[in-house]
Amino acid sequence: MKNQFLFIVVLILFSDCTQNAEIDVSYHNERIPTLNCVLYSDRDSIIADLSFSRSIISSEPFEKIDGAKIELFEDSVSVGIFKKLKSGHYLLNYLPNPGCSYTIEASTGEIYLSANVKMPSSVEYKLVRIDTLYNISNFQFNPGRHKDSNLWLSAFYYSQDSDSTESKTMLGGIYSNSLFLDQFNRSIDSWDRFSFLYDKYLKVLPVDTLSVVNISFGLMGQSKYEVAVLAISNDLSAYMKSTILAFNSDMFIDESPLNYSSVQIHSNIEGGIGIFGAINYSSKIFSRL
Amino acid sequence: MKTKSLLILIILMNVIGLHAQKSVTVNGFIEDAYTGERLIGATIWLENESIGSITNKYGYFSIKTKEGFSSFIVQYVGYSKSIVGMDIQSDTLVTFSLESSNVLPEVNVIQSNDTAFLLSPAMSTYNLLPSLVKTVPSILGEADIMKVAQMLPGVSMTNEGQAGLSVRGGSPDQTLILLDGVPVYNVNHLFGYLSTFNSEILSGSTLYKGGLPSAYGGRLTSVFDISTKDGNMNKKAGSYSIGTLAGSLSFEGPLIKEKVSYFLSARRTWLDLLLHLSQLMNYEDELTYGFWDINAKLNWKIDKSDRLFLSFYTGRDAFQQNENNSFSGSNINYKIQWGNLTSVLRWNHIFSNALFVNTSLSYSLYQQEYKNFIDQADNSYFRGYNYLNDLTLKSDFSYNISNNHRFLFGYEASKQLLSPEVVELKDVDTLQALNSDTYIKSLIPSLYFEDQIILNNKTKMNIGLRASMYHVEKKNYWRVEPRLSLSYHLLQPFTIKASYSRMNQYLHMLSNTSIGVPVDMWVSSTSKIGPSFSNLYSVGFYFNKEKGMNFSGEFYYSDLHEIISYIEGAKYLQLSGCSWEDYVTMGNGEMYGAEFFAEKTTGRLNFWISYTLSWSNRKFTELNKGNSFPYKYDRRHQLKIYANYPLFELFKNGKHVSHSLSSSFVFLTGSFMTFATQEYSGIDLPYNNSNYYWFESRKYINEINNLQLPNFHHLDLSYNIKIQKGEKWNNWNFSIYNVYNHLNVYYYYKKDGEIKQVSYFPFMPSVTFTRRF
Repeated sequence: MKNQFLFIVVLILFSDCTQNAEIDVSYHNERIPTLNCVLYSDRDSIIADLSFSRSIISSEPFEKIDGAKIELFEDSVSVGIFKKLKSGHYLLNYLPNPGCSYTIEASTGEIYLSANVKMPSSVEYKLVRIDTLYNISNFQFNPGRHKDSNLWLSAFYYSQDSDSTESKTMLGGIYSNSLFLDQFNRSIDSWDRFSFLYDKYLKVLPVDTLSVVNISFGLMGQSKYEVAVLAISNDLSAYMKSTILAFNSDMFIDESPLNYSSVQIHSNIEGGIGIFGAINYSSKIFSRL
Repeated sequence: MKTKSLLILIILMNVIGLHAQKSVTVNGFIEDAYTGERLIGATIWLENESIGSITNKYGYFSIKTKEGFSSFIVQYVGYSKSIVGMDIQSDTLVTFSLESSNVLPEVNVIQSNDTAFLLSPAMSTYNLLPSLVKTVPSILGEADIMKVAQMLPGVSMTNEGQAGLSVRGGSPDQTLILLDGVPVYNVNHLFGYLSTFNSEILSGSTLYKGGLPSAYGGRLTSVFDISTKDGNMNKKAGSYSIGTLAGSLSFEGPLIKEKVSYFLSARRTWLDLLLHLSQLMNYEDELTYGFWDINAKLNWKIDKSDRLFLSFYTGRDAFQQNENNSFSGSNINYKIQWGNLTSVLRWNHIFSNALFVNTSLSYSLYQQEYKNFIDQADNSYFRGYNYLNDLTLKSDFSYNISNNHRFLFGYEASKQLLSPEVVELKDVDTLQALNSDTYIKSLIPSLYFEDQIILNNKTKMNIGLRASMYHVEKKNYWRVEPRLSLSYHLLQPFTIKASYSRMNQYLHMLSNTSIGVPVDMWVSSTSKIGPSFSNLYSVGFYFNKEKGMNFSGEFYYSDLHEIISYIEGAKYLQLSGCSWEDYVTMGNGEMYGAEFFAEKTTGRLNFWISYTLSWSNRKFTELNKGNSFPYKYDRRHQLKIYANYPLFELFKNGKHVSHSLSSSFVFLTGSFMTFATQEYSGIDLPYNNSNYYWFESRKYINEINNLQLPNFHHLDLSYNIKIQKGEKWNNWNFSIYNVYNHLNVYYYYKKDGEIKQVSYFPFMPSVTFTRRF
């Protein structure tokens, strides 16, 4: 009895009453059209995804929007209409040009979505390998004077598949302690290093021509690897940032959403949500020393 | 000869006439006849004249009258009215003593039951007496002045059960909370379920939420000034209290009779013992939580003109969780502790019959520490702390020029040292400290004056100015704050009032949550992040009926500027070594609304009803796409009712036994939280080729604070039995919180495809016993 009493007191003070709830989501029930499309400077096939949002408690797949007309414009001139694939995605075969402005429009009888993006220009840079110690390769990276502040670094290694075709895979372990790294690279468990999610990317601040960013990669056993410089459009960069912030918040929020600031995912789609972005890719290939 | 005689007669008459009109000053103190405790806010009136004065927070008054016989009416709520006739030939220093009326306490919100208030320009001001605090029902029967303040119009809790005050839609840090004139930076025990103010120590309190006096500065919206007991000058006494959650013990008495007194009070929770016992019975010992606080005060009446007070307060909370699994080798061991320490030496001095001064030297320290041990031997840990101390010297002068004109002025100089977010990481060999050099030192000198003028029988005005300078990181911020209050007495019993206050705030509390501690962090303005400022406008009308029915209505508009908030995704204590300045954004806010208050203070049934209609919005460039959004403390409708009814009284064997019933009801429109109700298709990482896990979907949040929680309401009851014999009494209090067991939503979250609702305070009965000896 005494035991029960103590437990009751403790329970009153420290336990919460958790129950299923039905919240008034009437004003949130509207399905919101979503458009996602990214232009790559090194790819001549452009994929667009058009679907509706779903309720937060739904486990159904996102409903694809059929019968839409999706058209891409380069500097206000149409370059083609996307074709619907069996997968539900839309495809347009076209190689975007650096420095050009693009508009995408998607419409059905009920919806009209549009967005604009400028394909970032190619970035001139110097990338010098300093040394390779154990499995760490050290570089000096000088991006020159660049207007685009959304400069990301990444790396890939090459391997042979069973059918002797060569494929490249993203490397992990890219990091730097340079002053010229974007604060956003900082992650919760690396207070003395800088990296962007799983150590896959580094985001570099705009720097002057004399500035050098020291970077390091953790290498795999392969003989060849590639260091990539990604110039990413502003909206896409903001989208990636907000996605990762939201992911980090969600990871820690768990059942206690009071302790963290919520994050709105960036979107540049007029008439709906999603992202229309562009990436200018350039790279250098190195052999393992 | 005739002419000469007439001339002499005229001169003589003039001399006599002049002599009859000679003004003399009566000044001094009003105190409790039994304890010698000085009474704050007591009134003294010249009988048959509309001339009066109110005691300041040291119980001091000053009033001018004509030489000769004068009759004074001295009164204070809960005390018998005293009419004292005096033949006054010159300036006189006097102490009036009032006898406790020994009646059941009234609904003691003095704001509008006092004629002096009705006639003064003061508005949006409420005095709360200790006797009231003990009658308002509360969670687990723990009387709490902060919870009582939350029953006032325009004041609400931050979240259910929390001690923090949201005044007119502002955040808790925008209210300056003073204990004997010293800022208290954290008012939360038990994660905010109790305030740090032990109800046994209270002697008075005043909440200002508009028309702020010039003597106060440093916060954007309001001031809550709490005074503690001085200690009985005449006789030793004490009390103890045993409640469901905590117990307290207090002693007071004279060290030298009528010269030096002391007051000492200590409180601690039983929670740690209960937790320990309950876990012991289950062969566990994982969770520990405890809090305690101590208040002490020395009061030395040096002579009629000088008095010294030495006050001390300290309190601490500690929460620890250990989960050591020797089988799996896992170890979770963390500790959170926080606490305040305040001390103040105050010197009251009467320079002359017209000039009174209080000089204070005070120190306030707030510490908050989070420690996470990584191994059982404590060789490795993560430690983060937030530390703030404040050393202040100030003097407040009151110069009584005439009954129609009083001039208040003073200075204040504060030196603050703040470490917002020092983080230490230690392993067996090394100790790494992040932000260890981010101690921010600041100096805040300020000057103020306030001229209180009675312009005519109907119009009164307080006009003031506060000028301050905030020096930090080699940068000076100069700030001037005009203050103005006006009252116009239309006709008995109606008065209209208006006020304007400009306020500045140099310290800010960064908060993601409304829980109180430990994830709130105090930061100061810096060379990058400037001070916040606000403009507070209020107008009101007041109706006061002689028989104790009072009614008031106030309308307010406040704009806030350069306030700060976390940016999206920010968390308390970043481990990255970057400064908090990197993850805050600056913006503006506005709050407006109407407040209505009705009270009945006489007769058997005492009650008050308050209703507030309000809006509170915020706008930050980096949040919500730069659009305005409802603030988390935006409560559209607030209805609060409190009633006290003495059921019956018995006189038996020389004992006076009284039974009374109190009840309170609170209704608030639901608060706001950000909650994604939709999700949508997302894209992969660039060039990821699906080699690493990435997110298929994104949560859609259309705007910050997009979801309004259901309406919040609860009814509480309190049954009180007081058995009194002379000055000694026993009191039994039986309380029920949330009588009809309405589960108010604390927050929502999503789990396993369902939305879960979390509530914390169901039907909660409690009993508290208090004995005064």
